[in-house]
Amino acid sequence: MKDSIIREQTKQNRRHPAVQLGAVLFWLLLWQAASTAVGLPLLLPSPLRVLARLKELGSTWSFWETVLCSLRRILIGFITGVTAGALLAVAAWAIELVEALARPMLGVLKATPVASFIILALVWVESDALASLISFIMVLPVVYHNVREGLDAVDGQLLEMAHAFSLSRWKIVRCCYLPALVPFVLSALTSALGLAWKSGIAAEVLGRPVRAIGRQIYDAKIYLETEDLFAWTLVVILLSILLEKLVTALLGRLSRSRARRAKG
Amino acid sequence: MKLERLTVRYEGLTVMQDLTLELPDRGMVCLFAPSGSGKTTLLRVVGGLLRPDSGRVIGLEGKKPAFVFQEDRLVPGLSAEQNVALVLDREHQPLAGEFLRKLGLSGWEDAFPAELSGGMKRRVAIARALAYGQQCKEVVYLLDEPLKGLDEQAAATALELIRRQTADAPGFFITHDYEEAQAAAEWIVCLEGRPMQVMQIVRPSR
Repeated sequence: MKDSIIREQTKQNRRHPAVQLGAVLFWLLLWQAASTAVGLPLLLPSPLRVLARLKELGSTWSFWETVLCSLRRILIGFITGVTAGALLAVAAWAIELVEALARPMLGVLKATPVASFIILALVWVESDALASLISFIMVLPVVYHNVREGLDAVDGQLLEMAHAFSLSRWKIVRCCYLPALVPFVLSALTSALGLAWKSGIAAEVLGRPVRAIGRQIYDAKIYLETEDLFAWTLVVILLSILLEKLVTALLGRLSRSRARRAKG
Repeated sequence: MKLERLTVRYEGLTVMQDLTLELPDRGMVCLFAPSGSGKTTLLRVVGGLLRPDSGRVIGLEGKKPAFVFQEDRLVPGLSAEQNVALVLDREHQPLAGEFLRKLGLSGWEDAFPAELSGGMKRRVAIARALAYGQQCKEVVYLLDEPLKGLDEQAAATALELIRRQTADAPGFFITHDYEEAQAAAEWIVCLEGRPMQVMQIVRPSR
């Protein structure tokens, strides 16, 4: 017991903002030192130069247009992937045949490298729709598996109670299914968003649609604009963190308001 | 009310075989039997949650089962009052608070199951069944060890309320405590063996 309290305190200390900031600073300093040691900005620009370039890019309208277009493409894939994954999971849970049919398809989706999908999909769709399609393909199995697990985690005894007291369908969903599903859906959305973002950008690098972060990364590499390459990569990282925080905060607010409603 | 030639097999075991039992149409019947003999299975058959392999229950058609399950089965995200109100229609919502208060849970209406002791949760489960029973015109009470985990005073209060509320309806009450059976029921049915058989029917003297 005492041990576990001490372990918990150590864990909390490690998560302290000052510790996290210190860790980031450490890696930035290491990056700066490595850049100074290499001495060639073309190979490894310093963090200060990258930040300066990012500031420069950020002052142009085309930068924001590019970011918004990439966001739009990836969010379309994410939202449709989440919807399709959740619906398929419910259908598979209710109908055995759907599960039997879905299992091999999802197994293939899980095992196939994302690059293979991107190249294949390039044959089928226009480059502008590629990122959405790839995000969709990456998100669907993650959401499917989590929602399916959540449905299996529904408390059978509570369900029996609900049927015994002839509760309405809506009450059964609200009191038995939703509470079991929420933790699984939260975890699915957080990991699926990261996946959608990374695979979507990868699709843009290979598909090179107009006004896309991925295209900017590709062009920076072709024209040896290493500072741009780092700056755009930094944009991808920052947006990924921002989106994850946004989704976590939004879902956190939703769960809190659910708890408040429950308290009535 | 009659249980006619009920046979239930469960995971290769014959829990009851041709079990026949004629019972009064109202008043609590206590099922008294050793643990694991199949009392809960019998209750589930009577409540329509389990279909027997053969046989039937006569005389309970159209009656709604008001269960106190062996486990409390409260919704964790709902308060005590909301748990009771959940099984009630709009018109009967006030019964939730009323029954909680009658069972000594005044001031605990807004507490969530995780904030309640074992005995308190049990009382919420009893309140839910009794409130539901009051709401339904035709009801059969199915109480599986309803006083489990209650202290002496709370058990006495709950038992008194159960007796009062269920007097005009048919009901089954499972317990291991013979004194409790005598206090609660109009009839005690002693069951034993595997397959479960009726050994004795006793009318407790008060």
